[in-house]
Amino acid sequence: MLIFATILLVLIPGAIVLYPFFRGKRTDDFVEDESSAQAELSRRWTSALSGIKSAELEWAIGNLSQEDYNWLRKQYMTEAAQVMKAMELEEQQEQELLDTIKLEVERVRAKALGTPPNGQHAKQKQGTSENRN
Amino acid sequence: MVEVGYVALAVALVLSAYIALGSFVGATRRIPELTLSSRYALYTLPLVLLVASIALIYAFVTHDFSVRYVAEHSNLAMPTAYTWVAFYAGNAGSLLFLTIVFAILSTIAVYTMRRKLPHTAPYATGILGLVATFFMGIIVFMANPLSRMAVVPPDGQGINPLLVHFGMFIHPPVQMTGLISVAIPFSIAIGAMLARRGGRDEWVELGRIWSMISWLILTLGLMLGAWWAYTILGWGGYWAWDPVENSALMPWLAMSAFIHSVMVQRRRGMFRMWNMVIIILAFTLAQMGMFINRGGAVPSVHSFAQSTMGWLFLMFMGVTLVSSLAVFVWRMDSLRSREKLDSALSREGAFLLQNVLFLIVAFVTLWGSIFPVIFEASQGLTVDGVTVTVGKPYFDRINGPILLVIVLVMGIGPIMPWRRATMRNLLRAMRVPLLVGLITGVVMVAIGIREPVAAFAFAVYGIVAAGIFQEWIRGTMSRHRKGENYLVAFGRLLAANRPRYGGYIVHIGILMLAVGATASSFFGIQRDFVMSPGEQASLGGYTFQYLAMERTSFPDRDKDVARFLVASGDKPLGSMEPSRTFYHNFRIGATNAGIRSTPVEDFYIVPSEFNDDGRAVFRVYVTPLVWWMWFSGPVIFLGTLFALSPQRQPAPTTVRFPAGSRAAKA
Repeated sequence: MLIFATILLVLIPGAIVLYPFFRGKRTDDFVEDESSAQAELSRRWTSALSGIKSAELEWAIGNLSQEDYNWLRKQYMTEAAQVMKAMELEEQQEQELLDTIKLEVERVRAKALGTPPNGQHAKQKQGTSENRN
Repeated sequence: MVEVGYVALAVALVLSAYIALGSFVGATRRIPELTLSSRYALYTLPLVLLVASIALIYAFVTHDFSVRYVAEHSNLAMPTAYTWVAFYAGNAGSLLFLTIVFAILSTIAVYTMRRKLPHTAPYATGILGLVATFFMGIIVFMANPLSRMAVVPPDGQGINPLLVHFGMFIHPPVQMTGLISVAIPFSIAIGAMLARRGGRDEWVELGRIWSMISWLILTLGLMLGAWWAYTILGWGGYWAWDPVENSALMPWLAMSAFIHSVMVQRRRGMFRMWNMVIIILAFTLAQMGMFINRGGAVPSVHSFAQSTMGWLFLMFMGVTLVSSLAVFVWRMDSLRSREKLDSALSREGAFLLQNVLFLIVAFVTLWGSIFPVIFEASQGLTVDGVTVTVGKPYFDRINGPILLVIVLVMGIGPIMPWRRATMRNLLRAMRVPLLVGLITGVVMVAIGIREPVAAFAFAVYGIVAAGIFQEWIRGTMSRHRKGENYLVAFGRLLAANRPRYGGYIVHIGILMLAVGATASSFFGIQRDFVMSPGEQASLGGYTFQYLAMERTSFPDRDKDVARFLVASGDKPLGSMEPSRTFYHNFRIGATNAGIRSTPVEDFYIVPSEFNDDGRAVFRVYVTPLVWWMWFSGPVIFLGTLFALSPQRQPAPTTVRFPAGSRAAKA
């Protein structure tokens, strides 16, 4: 009984602990970096939004004068606008990066296959039709 | 079965060491398989410890007195239900309990943070692994609850009589869980620093949630302890500034400071360094609590848990403090605040003030608790064989006024907006609360209260209560003006601002606690009565007749029950049966007070002595508003849960306008 229990007590945790070394990589291993610019912007967005909500509530219940409310609201709105702008830029940069990668992949593929890249092919086709018009 | 438990403890020690080592190596060397493997080891730890716990429970239930711990903390007469209490009645069992609870909490914490904080999680896991290794090391090598004795006694010593109380089924486990749970937010914060993420605020949300959970458990532990002391220690009080009580209060104070200041970081990206310092202090104080509990270095009513292992806890505390401060200094440059304090007259300014006050109370309490040890160490073991203790007056006189200021700040702070408030506006918002406070003070004097401190304290409570209710009423009115009926407006107001209004509910609970503590401290009356059966006496409007004493003998104890007939004025209130039990093995007498509790006051009888001639000595108390203290527990519990309940924030959406449109030009 003791030997059997000991074997189980060693084998079960041992198998669980060793499992990650024997399984392959999975997509869920790759999670978003908690410190990515996107995550930071999202936090700043939430913070600005909470600020606006809180200022509105304080103003509605009379803890803030109109003047103080306007000042606070302006501060938070500026922050929110900055965050949105930064997110937009982030998104744009990301798109540009993806486009560059896509073009590069197509270029490499075309080189390998000996045909013009899809993007260029499409552009050439578009140019021809525009000339016709 | 005991041997299986032994093996389980050894496996748990190996797993703990692996969790610590694997997590740190995996994180620093970027080996995801090792990090994941360490995390899985953590998930396995509670199950392995459960096997060891089952082995101990089995030994208790089968009265296996060959196990030293079972022989020392149970006997044949002990009802099976008390196995739960006996499990943690001594050091070895309580350490096992502490470790299994810690393993469960750590597993949940790491599971919740693995995706939200992928970089921080491995370091946090490593820190939790180190703590688990420390506990497991002590259990396996120094305080093994499953160790056997060479000679098996026919019966055990039995459970400590002071633990034979319903409160003991809950208070010690909750208290121990509270102390060890501080390690979770600590590990998240230090893990974030180690992962170079401390200067960003991603760890704050989970840190806040876990610190609130920890704070709630500590609060409940303290309140249950106070209730236990009130009903069984037989001195009519609930808080004596005993070192063990203080050891639980100190981390509570630090955590109270932390849960407020971390909100400033969450909202404004400020107090980043301050928060790290507070959470390090909180964990240090929690370890200090364990040291005082386990060490027996300071005289305490909680002597049932004494041992000589305290110095190990002290060493571990020292190592943790020094290493976490070293990490803090190492990463200090990355902890600069995103924003600056716009004005001291703001909510964050109030939080900062309240933080400082909390920490002052914590250090006053710490000094009062450890002064006897320092004094005795500096003077030799004892001076003329006299043990030095720091009494209640020291704590009351220094901490009392500071706690009152904290309550006042608790009322004013939430009324102030974030970032900036003007004095004119603050005074305008405070008009009604100040008026209510003034009226309360006047009413106190008018009804005959001649204690200026008490009258002032009640005036402060009036200000705080009015401030909270004003916020609720005005918030509801503002929604009502937009067309919602009052009930819907109130419900939606609360639901839309859960942390804020949950916090208000908690503040109401704290206020109830403060009212009960102030009233019972200043206006309680007590008197000793020597009574023969049939005699009648009165105190504070209550009349009580001592009818008889009945003795019942059990194999391990004699129980004397006194029967009283009680009336308030002309209104009969029925009978009360305070008792005193003498335990032969322990040579300890435990009392069980007779208490009649109402929201207005408590009538409390406790037997001090029964004479052979039938006469008995009773101490009788009439204590106002104590009921509110016990009722505050559920209020604080519900408020914290409400504040913790998740609330979704809308995500930012980008609206693109067609080029050349009016909106785009604007």
